[in-house]
Amino acid sequence: MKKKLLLFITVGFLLISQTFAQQKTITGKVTSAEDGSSIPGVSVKIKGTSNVVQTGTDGMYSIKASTNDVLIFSYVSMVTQEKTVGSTTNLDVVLAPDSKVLTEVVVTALGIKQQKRSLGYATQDIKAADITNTNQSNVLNALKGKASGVQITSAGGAAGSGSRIQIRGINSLNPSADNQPLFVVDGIPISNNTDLIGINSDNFQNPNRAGDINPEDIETMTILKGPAASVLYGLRAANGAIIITTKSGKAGKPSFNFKSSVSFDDVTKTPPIQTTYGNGNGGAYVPSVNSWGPKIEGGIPVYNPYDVFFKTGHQTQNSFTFSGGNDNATYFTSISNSEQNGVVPNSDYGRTSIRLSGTLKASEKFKFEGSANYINSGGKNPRTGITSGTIFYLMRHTNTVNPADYLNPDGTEKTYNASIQNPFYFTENAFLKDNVNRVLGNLGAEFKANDWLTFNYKAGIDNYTDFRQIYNEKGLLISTLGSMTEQRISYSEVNSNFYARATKQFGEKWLVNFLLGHSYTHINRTNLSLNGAQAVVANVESINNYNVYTTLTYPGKKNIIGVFGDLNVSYDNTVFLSVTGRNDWSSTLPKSNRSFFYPSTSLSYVFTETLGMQQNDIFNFGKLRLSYAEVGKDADPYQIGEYYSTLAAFDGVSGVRRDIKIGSESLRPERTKGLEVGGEFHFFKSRLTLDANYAILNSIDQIVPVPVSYASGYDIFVTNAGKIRNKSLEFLLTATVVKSEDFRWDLNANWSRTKGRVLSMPPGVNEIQFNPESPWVKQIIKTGGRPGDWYGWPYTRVTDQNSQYNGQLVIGDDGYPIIPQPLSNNYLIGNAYPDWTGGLGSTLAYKGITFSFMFNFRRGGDVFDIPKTQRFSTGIGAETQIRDTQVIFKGVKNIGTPQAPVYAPNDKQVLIDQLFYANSFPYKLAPENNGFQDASWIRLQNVSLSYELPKSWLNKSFIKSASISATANNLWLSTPFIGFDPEASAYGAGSNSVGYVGSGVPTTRSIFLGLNVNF
Amino acid sequence: MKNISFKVFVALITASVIFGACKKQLDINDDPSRLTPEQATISGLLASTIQFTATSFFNAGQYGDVYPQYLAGFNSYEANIDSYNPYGFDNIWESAYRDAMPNLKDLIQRSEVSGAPQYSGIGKLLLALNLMQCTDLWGDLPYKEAFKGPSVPSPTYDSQQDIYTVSLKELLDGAIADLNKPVPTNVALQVGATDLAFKGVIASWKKAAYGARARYYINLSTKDPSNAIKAADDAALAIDDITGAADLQVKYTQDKPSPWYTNLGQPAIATKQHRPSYFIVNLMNGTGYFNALIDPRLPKLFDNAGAATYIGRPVGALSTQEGASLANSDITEKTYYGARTSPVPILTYAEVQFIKAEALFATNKDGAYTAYLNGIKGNMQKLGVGTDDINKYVNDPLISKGSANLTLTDVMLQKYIALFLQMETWTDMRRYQYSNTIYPGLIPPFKNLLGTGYVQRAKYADNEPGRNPNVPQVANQAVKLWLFN
Repeated sequence: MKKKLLLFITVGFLLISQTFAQQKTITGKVTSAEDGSSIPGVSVKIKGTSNVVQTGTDGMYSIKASTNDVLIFSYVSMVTQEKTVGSTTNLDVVLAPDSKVLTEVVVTALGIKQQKRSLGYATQDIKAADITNTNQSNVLNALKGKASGVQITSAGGAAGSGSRIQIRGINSLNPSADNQPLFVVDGIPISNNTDLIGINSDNFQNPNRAGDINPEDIETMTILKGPAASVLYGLRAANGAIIITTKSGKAGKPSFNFKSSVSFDDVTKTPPIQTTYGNGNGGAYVPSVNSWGPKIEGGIPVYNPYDVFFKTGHQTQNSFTFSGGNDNATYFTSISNSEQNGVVPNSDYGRTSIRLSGTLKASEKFKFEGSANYINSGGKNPRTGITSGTIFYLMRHTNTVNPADYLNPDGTEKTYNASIQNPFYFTENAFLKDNVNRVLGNLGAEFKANDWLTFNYKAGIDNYTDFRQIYNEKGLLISTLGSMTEQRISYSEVNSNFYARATKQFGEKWLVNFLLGHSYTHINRTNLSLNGAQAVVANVESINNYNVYTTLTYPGKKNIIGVFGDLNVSYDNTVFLSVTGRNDWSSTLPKSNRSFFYPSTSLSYVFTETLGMQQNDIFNFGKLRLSYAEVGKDADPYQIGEYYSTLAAFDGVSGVRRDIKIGSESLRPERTKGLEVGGEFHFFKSRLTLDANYAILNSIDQIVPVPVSYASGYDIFVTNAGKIRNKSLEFLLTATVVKSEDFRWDLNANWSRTKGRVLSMPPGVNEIQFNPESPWVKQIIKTGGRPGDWYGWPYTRVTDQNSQYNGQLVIGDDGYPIIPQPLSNNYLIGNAYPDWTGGLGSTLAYKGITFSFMFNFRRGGDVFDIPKTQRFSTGIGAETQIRDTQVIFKGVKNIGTPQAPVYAPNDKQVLIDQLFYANSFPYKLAPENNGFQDASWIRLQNVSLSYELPKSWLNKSFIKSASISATANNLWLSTPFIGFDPEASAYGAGSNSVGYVGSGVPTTRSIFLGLNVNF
Repeated sequence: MKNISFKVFVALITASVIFGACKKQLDINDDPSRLTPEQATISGLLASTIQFTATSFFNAGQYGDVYPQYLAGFNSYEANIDSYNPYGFDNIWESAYRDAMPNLKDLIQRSEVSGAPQYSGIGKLLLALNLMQCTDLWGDLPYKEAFKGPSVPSPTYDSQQDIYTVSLKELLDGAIADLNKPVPTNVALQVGATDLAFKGVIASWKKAAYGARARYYINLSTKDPSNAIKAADDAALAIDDITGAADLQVKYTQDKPSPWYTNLGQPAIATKQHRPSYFIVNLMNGTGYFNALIDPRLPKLFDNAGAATYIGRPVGALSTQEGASLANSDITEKTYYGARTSPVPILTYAEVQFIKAEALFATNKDGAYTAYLNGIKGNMQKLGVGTDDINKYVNDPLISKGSANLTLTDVMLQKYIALFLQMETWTDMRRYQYSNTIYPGLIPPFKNLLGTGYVQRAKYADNEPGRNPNVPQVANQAVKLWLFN
């Protein structure tokens, strides 16, 4: 049977017989030019054959070869060398390091390492040091500014808060679709879910599960940006993939690493407040009402509530790794702990991770590898939100009352205004506690049947339980009677991947790789939620303490089965062609449509090879890439058909109702088709490199929950509809400006732009609104529009090119600017996605001192500061400083007719007072005032200074090397946006609603001091 | 040869086992936490649709009650909807069009197929009540093309005239006809314990159905006075229990508190969205039309924290304007509607009596007078006013003025008081076009974003225009509906 299979796989391959000349055994040692140390794992190959051996721990090798053979010595990040055997039997080789040349290897799908030059699609590697140098505890945040075409949005500065990653724009019209890439660790996908609480995701800054990963375990992260890159992972990688390779042990002496850091986190950007007027109403003093009172008299203390409220947060990170091994087995273990106290009182987060991984070479043919990772994470965070919550109340707090004085002697809340809550009191009494226990494990085996055929099997699990308690103390405005929810989320994912891979060299120049595989994915998520209402006794944090209970469960199970094939042909290490095909079967689609096939093909051509320019001093490497790929996407579980639900009992009677969501029985898989062209160019012996990429992505047949008129009897119809096109342009530039023995100066820059366009909408649907709960500006998707388009009611302006008043405000008869009527018409006012983003970083190293920084640029991208209304309606915001005064609005009045307007400068004097700010029409309906703003920025994302202690100091100790460092994240920000840092998204990591900001705990500035010791 | 066929056989078996296993792995897409359409029953649908209907009648009034000036905006709702800031009644659009009506259609269809006429009769009655409430707010609405599922995602709008003269008529006539049919012997087809309104007493449903048709005819009587007598005829067959025990309503429980309790009864004064308006309070505290007559229902409906007098809040005013700061009356959990277990009325004895009084006013003054007094007494009994207090009030010459002296103003103002918080009153007010003869002392809100007049209609709900291109374009909420033209 096995033989037949082998035969089957080799169909199409030609066997080449070879005549061997007189052979002898050659031995030798491979050492590093840098420090003379021996290098284990160097591949030694006889040119033109597939005979290959590797050096052992001591750097020694032994191979049978004949006099005329040429040996090729290659090793990752070293310059490959060729040596003719000649008469000798001992051949020692010194390899020179070269971090950036043509043998650069990247990890692609299924953990397969490929030469970067062979790839016909765009990838980007992020190295361990670039991740850990930032000290970011969430690996996603470590990527900020570094990767082109990748947008990372953190949910804010709450302890342990989640982040969202998106590659090249959104592909799905579905407001709740997952537009984030697949996360793969050591070849096995893991969950990056953001498990929301309830329907609204604005109440807590929920973590994203990839944040559980200990950054110290990561060796490299490879971002596979387009569908071509990820076709082998199937439908779950339709939005790209983040391939994480973890560190592994190296043969040799055990090595230890200890790393420790402590941070100082603070909030640096807060909304401006006015300090001229105190409590009251209409200019009169009323102690219980917010800041519309008379001028604050001298001597009365004035408080900035933000300064009083936010404290300095701290993160303490400690990690210890221990690794080593011999020729046959290696091991790597890590223990890490990270503790954080947030900038908001009463908030914390912690993560402990223990990881063990190892490889075993059982024989020349069998290799095993495995890893297990246990993670415990969680903490406590205050309730935030767009209509109530810590930040909401803080924002409404007045300037003449000290918010820190918030408790009466009997422990009850001290309030001056009964319609808001004291922010300190609120954070102590309304919060979420979560505790995640997670196990990630995988086991793999590789069988090398012969010199050209390997079988590989790997299975992995990702299991976690998230135990959450959401507590609202009795007596809060949001819970007069008190309430509590206990939620038990359990997630289990099993992945199994099998593949057979054949590699065969044909003649001198042709190399063929063929891969055939099978994969199976099982995902089972359950969420049991128990809500207790009406606390029996106050201050008891137990679900047993309630009068009324509601229990609901939300199950979700799906299986995906896939088979795939990948054929790679390369000619002379110059031209590389890859063809892949995959068929998936998903349980979430109707039987007739659940099987679907999608192909991809890519081409890479290193033209400098053909032109013989490898040694050219100016232009030494040039490669062109071209790829086309399709990828399918299935639905969420249980979307098809019609269901009924039971209602909670009423007076002992339970009712049933038809669900408001109905799914098409003929749902088809969604398709994304991507075409990508690009190139990689190296100049001045690779000291300057440029990578450019252009991609067009069409997403068709989208599975969209189409909102239908309630009068149809339903709210949502899940069907295939709509088409989105995204065009992305990305550049990546690196340069080594100075490179001398003691001093090195590297620069890197990236720039990217993604433009989405909605080409068609579901029939009968004009538009889909995202998050309509923000009433004054809203995101609407319609044909011809772009995802993220904002609509609102901007003030009417003169739009007559010939008029001298063109662009000026039109002022109404009442003397105020005009909001266009009727309000059922919406006007396009901007887009939530940036026009472009970029990063600029540099590293300067002088002897042991390394200084690096990274700027992050964002041009355009309008955001809506949802709670801004709290600032002007309460009179605390600086914009309300202008009050109780007569003004003439700068603009024109119409002295003609509405049909034939004649404009003249406005001269009507009107009163600006509390009423003006409170009234919708002249003020808050207009995006000019209501919080809608441009969120362009320049941000100093990261600055780091480290000092490597001179080796001479450590000579006599057991310490191999040690360094100390100081790092700052988010050190400086320049933006026209008024408010908190506009980065923090109100709806958090799991939402597609990009551009809503201001209601969560703001992003912080963090300064770390760190110590890193190797021994 | 034999060997080869054996291998083929093994291969086939292996393939089919693997394929079978795959199929099993893939056939897992039925949600275990929900019901299939076959598992849903008409008795279950009845329980939920009665709840949805009550929710809709609350939802109409939650913010809508500022239009008939039962309530005035307070705190964050100051000078807001009560100042005619555009308002689309989004919550009743949801509870009626998304929740109640499609499930009622489903209930009717299932009952007709399975031969359960009482279920279909109740279904038609509740559907008519929901549709009538909705068309009284919005006018033109989807109905004939509505509730057909994804095949008609954007139903067209029927004219209000069509809805009134064809659809509502059919539903109400059908409801009465179905309810009068013989009760099936199969217990599964009989209305029973899941009837949250009448616990399966079909006679009460019949009376409610006649009451609903009386409401329908009285609404049409302004356009065509010949409908008045039909209203009176139906009212005679409608709810006749003066204690209110047979009113069509849903009474809430400790576990599932009344929406008025959640919305107004329970929140602290500093966060209440509305307070009773000065217009309703003045009608009852002796400073309005019923001069110097103190209404014993005051302490039942309002809580003034023990003050000597009851003062309402001006409509469309900011906190310190127009005496707004003097207001002292609230709906709290101590009041009839603000209590945790209070009912949400859908159709009451008192309303039927006032319909009758109005319908007979031109033709049978004595009959009208009796109905008018019964309406007052019925409402007072429902609210739990003591007999002595009832008699003292009713016997006052301002009330017991004799049939000859009875005015439409008396009838409509007493109906206004008796139907506190029910949006039916707004329909009445617009039928009389906010006439100061009928509603003396009524003035538009202080801050009036529509200019000078009164609001005439609801704006269409916010989420509908984006989903349905057929929504009629209406300039603003001052445009009158067909029913009031």
